[in-house]
Amino acid sequence: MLEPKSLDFSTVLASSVHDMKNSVSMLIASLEEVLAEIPKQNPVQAEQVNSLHYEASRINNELVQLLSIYRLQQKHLFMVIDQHYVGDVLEDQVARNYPLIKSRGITLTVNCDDALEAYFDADLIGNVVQNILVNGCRYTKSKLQLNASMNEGFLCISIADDGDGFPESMLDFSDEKKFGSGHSTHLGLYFASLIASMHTSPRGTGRIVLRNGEPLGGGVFELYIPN
Amino acid sequence: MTGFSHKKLTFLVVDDFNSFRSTVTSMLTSLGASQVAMAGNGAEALDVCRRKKFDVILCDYDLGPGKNGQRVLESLRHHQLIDRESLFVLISADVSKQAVMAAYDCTPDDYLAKPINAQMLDRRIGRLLDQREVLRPAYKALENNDPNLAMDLLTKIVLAKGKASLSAQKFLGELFIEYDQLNKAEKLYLHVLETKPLDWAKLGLAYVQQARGNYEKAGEVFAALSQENPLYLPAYDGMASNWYLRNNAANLQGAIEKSVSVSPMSILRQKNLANIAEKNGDIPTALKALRECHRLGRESCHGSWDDAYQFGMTTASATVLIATEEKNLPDEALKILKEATNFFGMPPEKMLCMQFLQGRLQFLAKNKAAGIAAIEKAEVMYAREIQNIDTDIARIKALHTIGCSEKADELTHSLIHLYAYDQEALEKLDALLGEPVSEANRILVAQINREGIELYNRGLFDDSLACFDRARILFPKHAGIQLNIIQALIGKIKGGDKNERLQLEVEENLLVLEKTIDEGHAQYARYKKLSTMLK
Repeated sequence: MLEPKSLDFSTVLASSVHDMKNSVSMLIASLEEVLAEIPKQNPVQAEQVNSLHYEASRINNELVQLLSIYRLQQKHLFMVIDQHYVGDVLEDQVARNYPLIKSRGITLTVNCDDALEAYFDADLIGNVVQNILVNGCRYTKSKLQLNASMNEGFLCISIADDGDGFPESMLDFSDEKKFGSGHSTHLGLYFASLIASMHTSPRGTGRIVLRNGEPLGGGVFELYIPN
Repeated sequence: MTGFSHKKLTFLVVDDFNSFRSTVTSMLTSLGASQVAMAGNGAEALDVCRRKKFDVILCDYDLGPGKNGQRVLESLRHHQLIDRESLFVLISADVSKQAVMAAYDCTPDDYLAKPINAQMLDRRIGRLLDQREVLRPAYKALENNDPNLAMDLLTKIVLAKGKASLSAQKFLGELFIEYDQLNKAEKLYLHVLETKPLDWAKLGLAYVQQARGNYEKAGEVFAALSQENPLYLPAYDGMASNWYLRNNAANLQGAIEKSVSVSPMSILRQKNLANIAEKNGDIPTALKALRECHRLGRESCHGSWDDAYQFGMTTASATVLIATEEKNLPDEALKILKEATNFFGMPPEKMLCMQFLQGRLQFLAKNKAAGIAAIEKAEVMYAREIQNIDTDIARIKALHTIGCSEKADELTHSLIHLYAYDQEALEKLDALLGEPVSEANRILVAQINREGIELYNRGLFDDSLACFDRARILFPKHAGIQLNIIQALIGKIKGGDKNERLQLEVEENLLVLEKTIDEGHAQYARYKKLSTMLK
């Protein structure tokens, strides 16, 4: 008889996560096709497909994060810091989420100097931005603002919405305190702060900040990367 | 949407899923593309590319049975079915570009993680095309064999600080090194490193140091880089080039072994490993790498029948290994040769080589009668016409295997005269001889010996032994080298080393020599003298 114990669970998980990601990708692609074909006069159906699309995107993000954390732990993934145009990285993530943003009728503005360059791992930071964007789509009422600027040697990427803001309990987020406790795992925030903290320079260590208020009155997620 | 809404561009979409192919095609059409071709697997993709040139190829990594996306790219580049003008974008469900890239030899122009949509394609392809447009004149200059113009153009792009400047800078650094503009390369890399310790700039600077002969320092940087990021293949390749230049075959093998473990799908690295391991006398490693070459070769354009032949030849010479640990090796080699012949077809000029080899392997697989019969049959064919050096060597080795050593030796010596003016052939013969007859190998032996003797004179017995050992692996029958080893061992003992094994080693070595050296040999007097020294 085969012994289930002899399997290394994390390896099994990693390879099935990979398969799941493939399936979710197909699912999302099909949903986007359906979305594009739904006639405008059927808003109820469109709304249903929208939620399907949103949930599928969330699953996709969680899988990306799981796989990345697993690989980082197993030393199969390493940071590759290089110089990038920040605008390109943001643009990629906006494009990736364009169907979601459009179908939800969200107005997204991006404020980033075309010539803004910074040093970071573009894949990992791209994943963080992607995740926060999808979350923003869920919690905003109608607007999202994606900003990037360089301040005192730190690149700051922030995403603001006009929703109800983060609950009080989340505002002092720290990965040790929050990960795995309560009703939500906050995997996304844990992942974001992990990736941020892996970015270090003589100026300091990367971090994330959650706050409410300006510029849109809702929640603001800020990612600081030392440069 | 801006980007590439040019109707003129030609696209090829490669994916084994029909639905995905049509999805991507409709994305491209929605962006204004009017010429989109499709292929359902790797072979089809190559076929289409043979007939038509595409501006952009979007290829899934996973293509079902047959070649995957990376192997398609490898073939396209190898057979020059795409040039710098075409873009190859690899699409995969894997989140990590690093993981997908590191495993292979070549790098696509871009990588997209699934799920993808029209906007992503628009932005990415648009950006790539913009960049290509800026770099085009430099590529053209290189194509026209005008590297100086290419470097000038790239310098201008870097100084203009536009969007293409970051990739232009990397490319420029590589060209500076390639065309020996070391001062300029150094300046470029130091300038980058002033702001941030980026891997590619550290790597480039190490290559500059290496080119200036500062091997040790360059080696340290390559080692540190591969330690910081074990998936950074260029660091291992740098390390390998470094040990090669430092003439350190053992460490060279180590560096290539590491790169193979990170990049197991890279058949070219496996081939390198097989060759260096064989030179180092590390037969198990050579066989393992050749086995991989054979396995990977089915889907790679770098696969060839020769890998199987090399596996067979290496096996047939590994008589000790066969007698002890790997009894099934000859059978495995016969099977691999059969598979390769069915798959690739045998080059006609290798037919006799193959027959001699098959005979040897059968003989070693305990089917002696069949082996001898096969070799005798090959002998008849051999006698019918003049052969080339490879067939001669296959024949000599076959005669040795079945115990006709005298005939084999006679033949070897007659070949020295036959190939007297063919240095390449003489080098191949060297492996069968006591002392090298080719000029290149004579110089090599002389050089290693000189090095070893100098170390011996300085009292560095271990280092000098390592040196002579290296020479012995290359020329196992060389009496002079064997005597040098004995002398260094005696030096060690007389220097105060009390290890009893040294004495035994000396005796073993003398015993080996006793069988091959006679009074007529030029080194006989020295042999006699050394053999009495410890008594």
